[in-house]
Amino acid sequence: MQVLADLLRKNEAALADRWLELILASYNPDTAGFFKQQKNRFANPVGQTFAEQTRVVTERLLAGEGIEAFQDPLHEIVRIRAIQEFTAAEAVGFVFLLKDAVRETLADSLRDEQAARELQAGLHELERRIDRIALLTFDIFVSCRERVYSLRLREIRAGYVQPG
Amino acid sequence: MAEHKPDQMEFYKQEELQQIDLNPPKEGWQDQPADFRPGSWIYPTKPKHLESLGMPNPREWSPADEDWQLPENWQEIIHKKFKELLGKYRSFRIFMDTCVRCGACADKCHFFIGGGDPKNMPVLRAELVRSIYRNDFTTVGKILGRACGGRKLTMDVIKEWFYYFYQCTECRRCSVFCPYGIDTAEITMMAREMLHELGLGVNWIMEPVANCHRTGNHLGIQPHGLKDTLEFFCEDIEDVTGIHIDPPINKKGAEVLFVTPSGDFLADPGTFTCMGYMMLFEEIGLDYTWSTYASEGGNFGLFTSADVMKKLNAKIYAEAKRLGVKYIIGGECGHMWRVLNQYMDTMNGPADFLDVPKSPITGTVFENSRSTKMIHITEFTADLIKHGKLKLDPKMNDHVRVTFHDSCNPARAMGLLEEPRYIINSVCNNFHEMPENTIREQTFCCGGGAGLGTDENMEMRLRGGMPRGTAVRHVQEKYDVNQLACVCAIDRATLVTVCDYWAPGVQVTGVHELVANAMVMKGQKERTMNLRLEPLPGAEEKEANDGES
Ligand code: SF4
Ligand code: SF4
Repeated sequence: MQVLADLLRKNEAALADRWLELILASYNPDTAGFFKQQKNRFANPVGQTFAEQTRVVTERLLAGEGIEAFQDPLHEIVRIRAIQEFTAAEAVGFVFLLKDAVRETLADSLRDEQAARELQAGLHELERRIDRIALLTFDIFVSCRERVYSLRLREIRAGYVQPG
Repeated sequence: MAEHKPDQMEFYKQEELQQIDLNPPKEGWQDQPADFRPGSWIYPTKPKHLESLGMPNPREWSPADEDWQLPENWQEIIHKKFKELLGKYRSFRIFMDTCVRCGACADKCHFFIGGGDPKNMPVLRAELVRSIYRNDFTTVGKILGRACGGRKLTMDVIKEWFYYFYQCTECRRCSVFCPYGIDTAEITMMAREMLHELGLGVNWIMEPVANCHRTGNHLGIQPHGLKDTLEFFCEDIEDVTGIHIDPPINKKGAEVLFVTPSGDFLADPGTFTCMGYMMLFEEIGLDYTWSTYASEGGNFGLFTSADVMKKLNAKIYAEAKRLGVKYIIGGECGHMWRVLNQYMDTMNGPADFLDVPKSPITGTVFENSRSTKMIHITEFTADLIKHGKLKLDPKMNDHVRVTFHDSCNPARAMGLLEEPRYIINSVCNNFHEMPENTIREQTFCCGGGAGLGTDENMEMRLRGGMPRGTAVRHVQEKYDVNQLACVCAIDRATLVTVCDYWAPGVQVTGVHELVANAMVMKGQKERTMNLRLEPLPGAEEKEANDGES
C-alpha cells in the first residue's frame, strides 16, 4: 500500500492531468481544446472548474481522505455535467476514468512482475475507493437533477411561465 | 462507439483530443442533424396565437415530431424571404459576405462556454445560415457548392435553425469581439424571421406578442387588473413608509408617460422595483401617468420580426399622443432599450409631437433622446441624485452587499454603464464589481433573453447562465455579496434561478428597489421593514426594547 501511495504521489500532477484529459475527451474536440487551453476562469468556467477540482479529488484520494472529503469537489464538477447534454451514465462515468489514469501512470512499474505483485493489493484497495467515489457522484448527480426540477417548478408557481 | 460505455476509455474520443486547434471547425458539422434533447428546446407556438396575429401555418406540432407539417413549397417560401431580407438589410448581406472565420467570436458565447456544443460558437451559428446563402445566393457558391462552404437547404437544416437560433439570446456579446463588427444577434433575428414564414416559432414569445396586441402587455393583464395591481403595491408601500399613494392611471395631460415591462407587475422581485418607481415619483411630485393600453415596456416583437416589433413599439407612441404627455420615461427593462435606441427612430420616429425630455426637478435636458423622446429611469434618477434632489440614507442598505449585472441590451445597445453604478453607489455602502471580463460591454447574458426565459429549456438556460453565475459566486466568496442588482425584468426573473443553481444565497434586486429602501421620504414613518416586508436588521430588537421601556 505504502509503495503504491509513494509511487502515485510522486506522479500526482501527471495523474490529475491525465484524468482531466480523459474527461475532456467526452466533449467535441474543438470544445475540449477550448476547455483545456483558456486559463481565465471567468472566460472558461467549465474547463477551469474541471482542472481545479480534478486536482483536489486526486490529492485527497492519494492522501487517503474519507469519503466526505470528496463531496464538494465532485459537486463542482457534477453540477456542470448534470445540465450539459449528457445521459446520466455519461455525466457521472468520468469518475471511472480515474482508474484508467492510475493504471496508465503506473504502467512502467506494472510491467515488472515482481513490482506488479507488490502493488496489486494496494491497487485493488484504491480502485474500491474509486468505486465508492463513483457511487457518491451518482448521488450528487441525482441531487443536481432534483435541483433543476425544483427550480422549474418554482418558476411555474411564481407565474413566470404562462400556461397557454 | 456504440459498443463502448462511459466507464470505458474507448468511449472517449481520445485520438481526436490530440489534434486540438482553436479555430472553428471546418468540416463535419454540415451533415450532423440537430439532436433534439429535452431541456434544450422550447415548446412551439400554439395555433390560436398565430391565428390571432394572422401569421402563417398555425397548427399543433412538436419539434420532437419527425414531420413538422410544413407547406409543400417550404423551400420556395424560405428562399423568397431570404432574398427579401438580403434586399432590405444591407447589414445582413455584409454579415453574410464578410466573415473571415478568424475565430475571435468562437469562445465568447455563454451557451458555448457553459455547454460546449460547437454549433453554439457564434461563428458556426451564423454559418448555419451563411452556408445556405453561399450555396443559393452567390455565383461562386452556385458553381462550387460544398467546396466553398455551401450547403443545400434541406429539412434537417430547417430543424437545425430552429434548434440553434432559439439557443441564441441575441445578447451581442460575440459582436463585441468581432474585428468586422458582425452581429450574430441580427443573423439570429433574420433566421427567426424566415422560420416564422413556415409557422415555426416558440410559444413563450408568441403568446406574449399575441397578448400585447390584444391587451397592451405581454402578460395579458387587463385594465382593471393593472389598476388592482398598482393599488396593491401602494398598500405595501403604505405599510412600509406610512405614505399613501394614489397611482395616476390613463391621466390625460400628464407631463410624463411611464412605461415599464409587465414583468414588474407580476412576480417578485420585479414587483419591489415597481414599488420603487412609484415611491420615487411620489417623493419628487412628478406629474406622470401609467397607461393600461401602453402597459408594456418590453417588446417581444424584437424576437419575432421587424413588423411585429414596429407594431408593438408604435402602441407606446400612440398612447403618448392620445394622452398628450410631453415625453416618456421607461422603467428598468433590457430589450426595450435595444428597440428604442437601435430601431425606434427608423420604425416609428422621429416622435415630433413630443418634447425633448427635460427633468422638471433639475431642468436637465436629455439631449441623447432628442429623437425618441424617451429616457431610461436610471438616467432620470442619476440626474436627480447628482443635483442633490433626493434625501438618501445608504445605511438603510447596510445589510446588503451588492454587485451589478450589466443587462446585455442597456450595456451593449445603449451604453448605459455609469448611471446604474452611480445610483447604486449613492444608495448602498457596499458595492463590489464582478471581474472585468464579465461586466460592462463584456457582460455575460443571464441565459434567458430573447424569449428563452421559459422553464422547459431549463438545462439550456443554466448552461447559458453559467458564466454569469460563476462571476456572481466569485464576488459572493470574496466579498460576501448577497444581492445582484440589474436593470432588466427578464434578468429579475431568470437570474433568480441562475443564482440559485450557481451561487445559492445571492438574491436578485432591481436598482430602484435599492433606491426606494434608502430614500428618506417627506413625512414617512420610521422604517422597520424593507419593501419585501422583511424586518430591517436591528428593527426587531429595537421594537422589543421600545416595548419594554
Ligand atoms: S448574440 Fe449572444 S447568444 Fe447569440 S451567438 Fe452571440 S454571444 Fe451567443
Ligand atoms: S469574429 Fe467576426 S470575422 Fe471572426 S469568425 Fe467571428 S464573425 Fe467571423
